[in-house]
Amino acid sequence: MKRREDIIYVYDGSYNGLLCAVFNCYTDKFIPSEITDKRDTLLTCKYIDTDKDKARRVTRGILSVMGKEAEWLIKKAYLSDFEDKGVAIAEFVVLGMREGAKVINMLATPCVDKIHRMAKAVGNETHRNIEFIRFSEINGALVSIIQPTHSVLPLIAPHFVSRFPCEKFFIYDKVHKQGFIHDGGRNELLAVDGFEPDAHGEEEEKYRNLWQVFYDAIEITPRHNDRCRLNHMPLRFWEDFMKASRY
Amino acid sequence: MELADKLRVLTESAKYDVACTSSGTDRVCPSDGIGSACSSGLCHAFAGDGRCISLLKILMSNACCYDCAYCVNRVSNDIPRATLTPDEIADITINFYRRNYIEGLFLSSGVIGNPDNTMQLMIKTIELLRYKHKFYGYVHAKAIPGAAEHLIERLGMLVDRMSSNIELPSSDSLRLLAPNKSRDDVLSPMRYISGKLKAKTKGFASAGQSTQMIIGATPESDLQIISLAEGLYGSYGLRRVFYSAYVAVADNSNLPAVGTAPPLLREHRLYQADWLMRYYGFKSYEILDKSRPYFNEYLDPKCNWAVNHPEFFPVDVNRADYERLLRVPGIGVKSARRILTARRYGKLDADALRRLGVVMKRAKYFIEGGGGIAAADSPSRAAAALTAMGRAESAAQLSLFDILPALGQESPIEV
Ligand code: SF4
Repeated sequence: MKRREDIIYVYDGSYNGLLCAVFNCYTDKFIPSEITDKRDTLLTCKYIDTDKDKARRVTRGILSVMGKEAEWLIKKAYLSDFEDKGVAIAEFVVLGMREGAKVINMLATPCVDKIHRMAKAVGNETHRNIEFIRFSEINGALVSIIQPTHSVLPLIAPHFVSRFPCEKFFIYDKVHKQGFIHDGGRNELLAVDGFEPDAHGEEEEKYRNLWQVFYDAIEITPRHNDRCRLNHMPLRFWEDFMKASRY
Repeated sequence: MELADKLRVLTESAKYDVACTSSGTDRVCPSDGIGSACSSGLCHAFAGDGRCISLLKILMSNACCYDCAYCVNRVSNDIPRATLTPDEIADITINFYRRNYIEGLFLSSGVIGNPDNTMQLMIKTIELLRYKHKFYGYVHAKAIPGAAEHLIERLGMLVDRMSSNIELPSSDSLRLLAPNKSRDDVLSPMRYISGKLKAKTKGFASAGQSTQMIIGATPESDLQIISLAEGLYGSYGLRRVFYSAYVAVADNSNLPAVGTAPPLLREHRLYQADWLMRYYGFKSYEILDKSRPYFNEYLDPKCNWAVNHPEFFPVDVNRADYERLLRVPGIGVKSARRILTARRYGKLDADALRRLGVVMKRAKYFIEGGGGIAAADSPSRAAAALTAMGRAESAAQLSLFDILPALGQESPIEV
């Protein structure tokens, strides 16, 4: 499908909205220079309406022609913060609808490579957040505030739901302004505009202190290696560590 | 002693044990429990030395009545002693776990009076976790050398992984430095556990068994060490052998002097060789032999093998099978698999290989097609270039340890 560099699509940021943008590529018979959810731009914009029916038709097409694995790649790429994810997904779908399920293995093709990279970045960020988020016990509930580089909250929440079935917990993504709440049978992803936790109590302070004692004592000091530590535990996580657990 | 002080003392005493993985088992949590395990393992923090922290790694007690010369906890060493109660350990584990600080517990202990008594206290601790707290997270416990088999069996039924440390790479060294432990004390728990695992005893240490040996405290060669590891993987079906660079902690004429730097490069090379044996189909005798019983300082074991086997190269990336691809420096397990997949859809060039994760600055000397520069004279050129690269890296302090995944992690090193 040809590209048009003089026009961009603007959608509402939702997954269905993005699928509708892809739908539009087919009706317009071109792929625009950008597919974005930001409205401030100088180029000619076409505003995409989010229509559940159209989104469903695209999903059906993806599933029947490209398969489940391809859909999963698309969903993960969608959760990424990359500016060019919209166009990359559109190109991938257009190619995939022609090539079928084998498209996911065409690793030497640039748009396939790109989707894999985006999905991988999201996968890595998910993994790091599952590892590095810290909960604080506040008023009987476990609370965590995170600042992920991609919108990974929907991907990390299931891990904690299955791990802590009896706990009440709340994870707040400060960057993407989303929260996830787990309380008994309730599991909900919410748009949350801002969140300040209450001060923590003595119990919480006790375990934070014990953790710091453990963390400091476990280091083999003649092998101190800051570079290695930072490689594995990037600096951007430290602000959150310091607030919730000191490390 | 305050709880925090006890924790400090018992962490200090446990930290030289390298194993810290939480991998090898998958378990979901029932609705009234807490905790799960995932087979790839998780690291929740990295310590100041860059090592992964996955488990609360502590000793139950460091008041050990044995006198192993290489160990900080030996009875003749003048250090503060502490013992945690089963309740204290269970409580800290659960509360760290809920906060997502850790994946579980790694419990070991100095010998409290005698091996059986020690094992009973450890069993009590883990029973509290499993039954009272309904904890389904990861637990790794060390079998105490010389403990009764029925206790090893009980402990094994409670934990995900067991280890019994071989400590030193030869029985001569063991005799010299660990007077209270015989070779048999060390090997018999390992043999017993491996028997249980081979019989597929349900619920018994489902993540298998590992061991650790101290490197550089005693005179064994690298060849001896990797042959021993190969033997352990073979006969006892171990999941992992860990290597721990000896940190000089004791004034003893049979040991390196206090202050001697831990042999980190050697440890790194051992882990690389270990990966080659476990994932790349190498045999110990291919990596080192009697004429060269030590690792090359500047070439990793795979490059070293490659430059010494020019008859094997060049490898055609568009045709060679998986095993052959794996022998190419710069192609790892992941990139070899990706090459197999991607080349079904067209010929691979240098750019495509790079995208597939091949490290071209190494691979180019050994491949044909895909931007290789393999030529008749290239083995010697490759050796010179790769050695220079190794030299430059160590000179630039671009430490090898940065590229080494933190010790104990399971992700393969791509070499
Ligand atoms: S038995 Fe030996 S190695 Fe183990 S804690 Fe005691 S002194 Fe150290």
